[in-house]
Amino acid sequence: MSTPTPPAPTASGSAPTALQSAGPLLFAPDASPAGGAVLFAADVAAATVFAFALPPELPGAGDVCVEQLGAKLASLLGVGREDVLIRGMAVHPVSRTVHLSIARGRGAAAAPALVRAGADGSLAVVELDDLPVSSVALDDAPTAEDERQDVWLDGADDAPQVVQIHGVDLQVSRVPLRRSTITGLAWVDGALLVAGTSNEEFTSRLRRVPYPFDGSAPGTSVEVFHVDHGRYETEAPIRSLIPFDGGTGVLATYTCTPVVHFPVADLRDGGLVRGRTVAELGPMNQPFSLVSYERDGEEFLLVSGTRHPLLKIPASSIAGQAPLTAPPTEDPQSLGVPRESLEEHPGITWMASLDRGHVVVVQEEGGDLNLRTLAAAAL
Amino acid sequence: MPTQLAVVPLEGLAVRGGLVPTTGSWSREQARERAGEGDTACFTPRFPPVPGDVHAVVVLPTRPGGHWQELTRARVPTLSTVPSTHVVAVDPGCVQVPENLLRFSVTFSAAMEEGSAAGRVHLRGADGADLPETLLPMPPELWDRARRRLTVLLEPGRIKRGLQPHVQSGPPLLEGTSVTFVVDAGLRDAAGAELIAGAERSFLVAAPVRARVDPATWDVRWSASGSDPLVVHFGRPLDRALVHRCLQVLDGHGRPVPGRASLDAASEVWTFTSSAPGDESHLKVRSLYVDSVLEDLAGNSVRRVFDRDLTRPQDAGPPVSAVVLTRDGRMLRVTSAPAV
Repeated sequence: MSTPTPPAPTASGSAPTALQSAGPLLFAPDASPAGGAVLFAADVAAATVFAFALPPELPGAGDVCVEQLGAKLASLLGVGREDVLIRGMAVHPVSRTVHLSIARGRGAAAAPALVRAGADGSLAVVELDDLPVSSVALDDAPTAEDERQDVWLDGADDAPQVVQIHGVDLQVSRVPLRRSTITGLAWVDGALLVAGTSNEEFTSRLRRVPYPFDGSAPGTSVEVFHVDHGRYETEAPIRSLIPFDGGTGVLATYTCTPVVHFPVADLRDGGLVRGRTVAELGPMNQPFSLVSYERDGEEFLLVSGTRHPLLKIPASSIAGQAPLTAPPTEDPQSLGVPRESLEEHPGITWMASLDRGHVVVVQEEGGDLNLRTLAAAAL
Repeated sequence: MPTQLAVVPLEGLAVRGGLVPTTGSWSREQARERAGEGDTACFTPRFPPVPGDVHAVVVLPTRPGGHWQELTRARVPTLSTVPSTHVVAVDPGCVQVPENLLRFSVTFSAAMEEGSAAGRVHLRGADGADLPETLLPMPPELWDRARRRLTVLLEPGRIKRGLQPHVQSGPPLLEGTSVTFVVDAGLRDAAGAELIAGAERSFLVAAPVRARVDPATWDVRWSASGSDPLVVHFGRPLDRALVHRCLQVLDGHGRPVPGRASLDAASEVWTFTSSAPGDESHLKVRSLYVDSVLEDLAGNSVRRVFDRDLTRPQDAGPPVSAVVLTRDGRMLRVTSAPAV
């Protein structure tokens, strides 16, 4: 499904333009005719998503491979290996270069960095300061008196929420120390989906944000739940998500392991979204990344995790998977869709789609991280 | 002076297939005309160097396949970062926690660095050993906006009834046991210094709590005179951060009443003292607004039980955004749409 090319952002005078922290990355799917692309970068410390208009790049081909990625990133950024943490990865739609968001350094020297890996194995820092940029904040701005110990706000909040009850307006202040954390980005149905959770209440909030950002409150917000085996319904903070089934659905992984599916249509009306659990991955196993690819005309889903090997799931089995309603047991059948463990590809965490027939991954081997491209034929 | 100079961190000398120079800019000054002074080259790194790190200055090969040559090494001066930040509080502050406890939180005396918490908080059993896979791995780290309060979740997949991790591995905590939540001194504050000391708190694990937070059951003692505070007994411990955010005292016109609120160490008793002027400031305290996202220690809220059992209607309350307790004993519901 083709989507209109998103217009490039223009510099926003009053909104913040500097990334404070590294987080998930996502390219808008289509580029301008000149080869320019829009990169969405989540600033997790500021609960803000930035949209940067990157300079045009020439079309690229070939696989991307960087051995000793961890050591090379550290050298490029002038720190030790332990001070480089990958926080996001995305592939440029034109040049096929791999962009990595890096949390670099520590303490007062800590800063985010965006690094570009080319097909020739080169690494370079991408300068963001002078690029056209726009942003959307997920949290209400704090008030001037943002000082909370056990002191009550005096109601001087300049943005009180007004609700009515029995004809009386209630002006309710919101204490602003609550902070959203952005866990995933996806481009679905012509809009940006931002998955996040809170440092206070246990909730999962999925925002559908139209782009260009228009400066208003970030789009439709839905709470995401899932039903466990037909009986227990819970909030479900999303870790990662991707468009699926031609963009008509969303596949997501939750912090508590299930892989779930929900139709895009459910996101348009606001309110609650109840994901259909299609697979559970077992205990002590955090799903890390999701990506889809095609092999011999058939779509597959790959799931990487903190413990389990790379899992391969046929897309057709997801569509046909009934919601898990039987009580959970030790029987593997109760785990949902059949999945194949790809034992020959250990140590994979970050994944991104290079094209429909290739997946670029960060793979731990030999005591370091490596950026590699896996062909569908090998999966 | 060689033209192909580069700076790399010491570890960077081990990169195979060609060094990766640290990003930055070089400037050169020609030799002054005093005897004995050669050219000067100055490197400004793109990002601030980490205090204490050692970097090597090398001459890069001028032809493919050539070898680099190390000229010298330099250590970035170490800042005298005397540890000055400490743990102010560990929550919950009560002795007993439910078996389905959802979260711990740690409050620090100053802003902390993001990214140094992973692997530095632990949950240990009575034998002192780490309980495996009981805390949700970080990242993401759940900090408040001031970066002084870190929330650490226990594994939701193991807490939630009906999920495989709960079935196969059991809940993270077991009723009748004791556990200790430990914060290492190695967490770094925003200046990069470690803590003065770590901290820990031990808990006894009691029965799970799977009931909604119900303001109708609270013991609310409205102030009788100007100096009396409003005192609310919740009947069980609630989440401290959410208590501070979700409760608001309102006057007769629906406006927030200025004053000071406090919560006891066990998070069971909330006290509000009005600072409104006048002898009858207590009468300005007309109602208590309760946001329905308010949770207890197990993540049960006013709206629903954490892992709501669909076969139990009482596990979910009416879909309200808040409830309001009035001085005259009523409990009103606030829905998202304006009331008619």
